[in-house]
Amino acid sequence: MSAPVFELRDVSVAYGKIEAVRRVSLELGAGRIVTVIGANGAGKTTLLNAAMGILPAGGEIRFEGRALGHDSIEARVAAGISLVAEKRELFATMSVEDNLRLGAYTRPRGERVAAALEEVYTLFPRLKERRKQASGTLSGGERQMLAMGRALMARPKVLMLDEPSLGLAPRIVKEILHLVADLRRTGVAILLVEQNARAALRIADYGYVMETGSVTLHGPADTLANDPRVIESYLGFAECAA
Amino acid sequence: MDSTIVLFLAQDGVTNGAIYALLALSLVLVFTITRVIFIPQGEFVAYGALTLAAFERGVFPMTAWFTVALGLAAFAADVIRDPAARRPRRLAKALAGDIGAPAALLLATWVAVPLKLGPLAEVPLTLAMLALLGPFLYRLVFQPLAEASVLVLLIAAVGVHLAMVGLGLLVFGAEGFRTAPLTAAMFEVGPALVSGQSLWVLGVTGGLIAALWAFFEHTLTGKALRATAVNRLGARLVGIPTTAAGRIAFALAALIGALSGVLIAPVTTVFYDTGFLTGLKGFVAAIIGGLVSYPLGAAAAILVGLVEAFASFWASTFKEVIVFTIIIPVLLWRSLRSTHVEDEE
Amino acid sequence: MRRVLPVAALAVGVLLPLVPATPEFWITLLNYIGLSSLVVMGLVVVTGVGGMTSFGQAAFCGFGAYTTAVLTTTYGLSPWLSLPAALALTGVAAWGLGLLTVRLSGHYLPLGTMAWAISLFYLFGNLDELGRHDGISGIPPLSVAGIALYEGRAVYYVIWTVVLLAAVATFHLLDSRVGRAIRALRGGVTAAEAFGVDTGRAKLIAFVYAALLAAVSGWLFAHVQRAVNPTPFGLNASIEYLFMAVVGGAGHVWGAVLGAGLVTVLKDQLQAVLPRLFGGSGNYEAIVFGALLVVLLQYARDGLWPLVTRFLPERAPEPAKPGAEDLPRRAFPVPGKTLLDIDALQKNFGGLVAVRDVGFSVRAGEIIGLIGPNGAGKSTTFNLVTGVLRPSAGEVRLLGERIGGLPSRAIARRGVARTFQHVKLLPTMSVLDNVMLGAHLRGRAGVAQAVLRLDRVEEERLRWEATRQLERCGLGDSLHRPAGTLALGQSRIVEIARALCLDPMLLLLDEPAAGLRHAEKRALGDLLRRLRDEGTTILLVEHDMDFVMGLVDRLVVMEFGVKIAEGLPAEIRGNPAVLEAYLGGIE
Repeated sequence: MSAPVFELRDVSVAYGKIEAVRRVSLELGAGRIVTVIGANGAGKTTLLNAAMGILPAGGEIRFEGRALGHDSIEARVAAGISLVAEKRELFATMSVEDNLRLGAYTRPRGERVAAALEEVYTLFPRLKERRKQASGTLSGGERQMLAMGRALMARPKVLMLDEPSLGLAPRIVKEILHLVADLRRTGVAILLVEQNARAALRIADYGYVMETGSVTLHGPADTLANDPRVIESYLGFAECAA
Repeated sequence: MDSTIVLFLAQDGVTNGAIYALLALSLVLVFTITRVIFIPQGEFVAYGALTLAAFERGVFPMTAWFTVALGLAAFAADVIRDPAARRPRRLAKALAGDIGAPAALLLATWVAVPLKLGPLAEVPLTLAMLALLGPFLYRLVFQPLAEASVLVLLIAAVGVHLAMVGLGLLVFGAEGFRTAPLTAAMFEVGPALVSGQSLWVLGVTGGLIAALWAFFEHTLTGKALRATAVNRLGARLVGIPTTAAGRIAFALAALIGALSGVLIAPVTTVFYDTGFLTGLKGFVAAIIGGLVSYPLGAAAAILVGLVEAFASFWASTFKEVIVFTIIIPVLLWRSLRSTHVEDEE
Repeated sequence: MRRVLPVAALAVGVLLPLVPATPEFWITLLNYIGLSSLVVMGLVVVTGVGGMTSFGQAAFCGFGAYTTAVLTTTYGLSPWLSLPAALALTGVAAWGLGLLTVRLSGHYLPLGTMAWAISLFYLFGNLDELGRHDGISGIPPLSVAGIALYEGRAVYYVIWTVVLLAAVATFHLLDSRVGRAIRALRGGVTAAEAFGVDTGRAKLIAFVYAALLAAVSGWLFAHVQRAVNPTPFGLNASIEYLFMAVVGGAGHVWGAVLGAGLVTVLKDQLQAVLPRLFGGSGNYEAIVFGALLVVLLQYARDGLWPLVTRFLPERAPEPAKPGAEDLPRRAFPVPGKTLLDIDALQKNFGGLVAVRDVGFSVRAGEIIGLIGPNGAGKSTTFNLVTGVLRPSAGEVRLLGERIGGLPSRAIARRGVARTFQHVKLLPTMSVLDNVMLGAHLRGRAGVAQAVLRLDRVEEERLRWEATRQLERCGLGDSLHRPAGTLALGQSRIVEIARALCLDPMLLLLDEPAAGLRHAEKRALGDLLRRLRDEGTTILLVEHDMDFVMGLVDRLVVMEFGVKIAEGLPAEIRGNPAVLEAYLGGIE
């Protein structure tokens, strides 16, 4: 396997005295989908926020072989790392198209934004229909699409998705995850954080299971999908069986 | 009270209201982007008026030196605080912006003052040196406090206000000045006499609002500023640096403040501390507009101007009391309306 | 050394004016420091402790000063008789303005105070009765035992006696049931209201108390200066008081005196030096003050008093006396009786339905778990039961009484206590004080009892109750630590102890096990089982399934705002709908 594009080594994050993430290591290659699954409160969102530079973290985060150190969020976006946050973080009062154009903010000014915009519209035709609409008026699924589209406008090499299925009806979840699977073809490396383990493992190449801040299990996605320990980590079967 | 007086007061109120609208606009701008309640806005009004008055009298405006000094301080602060600012490319850019630009203005001012070039040259110089002050202040005072609460930022803004009033006295003296009107023309419109200066004020205000609208609607930078105001984290996630947005917001606010000063200088005698009350009236308007809505803020500003004009006719001694008391019911209404559950994440 | 300092300071203070060599000018300065200290002490209560930034304190000085000026010059009243009048008038004005102001939220509040402060300044300057901008002169000096105190050295003792009394009163106030309520304001309204604190009232008390201190300062000022005009009561003066508070440390009573002292001396020095430097005369000190204010906020936001405390003796915390009488307890329902009954509960936020037609009941003596994936509506349900949110439809009944839509503090009064998902303790307050807030509704002492220390017997009982609950939860050895120094797990236990102080029939726990280590979880589980066995009913929201499954009697499962299952842990575990909710659809 080629060298990973994105790599976390022994990353820890603490809120005050509380360690929300403890020494997590993972790696991600180009064109691959790696998923981090785990129950609520396992520290998945915290991990992504640390990788994006939103939260200060211990350990090392490397992108294309270079340690990111204290690089700001903006510097990471400019370098080619994008995050679709759990709360989407759209510009609610602005139109869909303005949201997308701002997604290309870090691209060189001369570059043709129109081409990137067309690509996003091809991926998400629904957004094109609504391009004049304020993003705050979109449905949950459309918002998720817009957040993903906006992130893609920056032409990232690493795309991190934080619970894209959160709060969406099962049919929409399926649609969104199909789209995520399709993105693999563009060569972007995807780090997908999900609570919806079955769906995430179905489209991912590799998976990590987090429990109370640490990775307890990892392996190829299809192996994990059939591992009873994954269910245990969600519903606490271990203790019940005893 | 006959219709002539009503029309005269209305004209007066609308003219002042237009200035308050400009101030309200920039207060809203600064608040939504940086969360700073920009109390020193009024000082920019006074500095604008007094700098232009100095030009007119052929006196070297010390404002130019002030800009140079703050530029140097901002440069030094950046280099000391931020290792990234020491990289050669950033350093060259900062040298040009923080030291080169103020120095160039200083030089231009030095050349321009004895020549008495008139408002066409002096107004742009005045606006340019004050517009530079805004971002310098932002970097020295507010950027290091970026994570602080709105209240801490407010107290810091009060500190800047104090310092700027004191400096105003030092630089401009205690004497008040009035500049020559841009036009002395008067027009008869029906029963009312409309002064050319009022039309200037309204025209410039209208033009500026239109320009700002175009900037925010149609340029990427303008949209990036709006994005920062709507969702700060979202803006950072697309790579818009909050600090850059803050600098632009402060530059615009300083520019608008100085322009307001230039506009009122021919109709009111401006003292070093006049700006505070003027700025606060812009505040009353901005607060009525809820510190978030531009059109509401502008409409409220006209209302404040009208209330002030009519109050000064009916109860001139209680003019200020009335203007500042109308804010209380509005505040109450707004805070009752926006009852919200505290953030439970 | 540490013990000597305060005593030495007092001795120097008493003796200084008696030494003839002391320059008159020092005395004048000290008098002004004393006058400012009073106002700033008020700011400590309202801003530093209560969290409401007021730009209006100088205006309250004005009320005090003008009241006595008018009464003593126009009506020839004795200054000592005009003091109660000044206090009464200021109190009424502050109460009225406070009613308007304390309802303002966030940054509207300081802006509101700024607005009425300017209004009042112009009002003082334009009323004929107050001498317009010239003010009122010829005010008589204070007199004690028939001797008029013209001399600065004589007034000095009056001023500083008042300052010391005010400091003692302020300490007493802050260390009382009312003081805890005021301190709790900083931790957010939700937590304080959940323990029965009427936060609007607590804010108003802080506000009026601060105004009264300012009025006393204004009253003294009028008789020291023997003339008043509007200038010292304007917005700039208020800003200067705020500056003093920031310099000294807005959260510390003695910080007020320190800040007032430093700023007054600095101002005096700058006024002497700067005009010589710049020529002419003017408020050049404002430049330095403004810059200093910014620097302080950037580098020492807590002010300078914390630096001084390093040299002072540490006050030994008051231990709880086991001799204190236990507080009376409420009658608990018999086990098995329906305690909480939720029926067809619904909550809409705009178009979004967060909770739809949810119904379940909790019987006395049960532990019920409420579980579900993120965004299932568990927290909303919790907030509907505790009164943080009003239901859009449906009913919440406690022992048959409808409580849906009541304010939190009314629900707390009926015996419902809660903990928070994001711990809401005051980090700088001791664990014991934090927990005593939980017993707020079991005490009655008000401001007067607090200031005069007539509340000690009751305080003793509250402290004993809090100590007992902390010991019950296994935190008996951390009573006097600041709550902010605890690990998350312990903080959650402190929240439970605080809730127990309410003597609750129903205990609502919001993710009590989140962030706890394994051993801590086991201890928590043991504690909750013990509480149940002692008669407390528990409803908890929890994500940690290991923890929940082994603990609860029954489970309620929610998804997308709807109840999808209810039953024994074993039944829930095998329920396909629950599995699907957690792990995603099976195709």
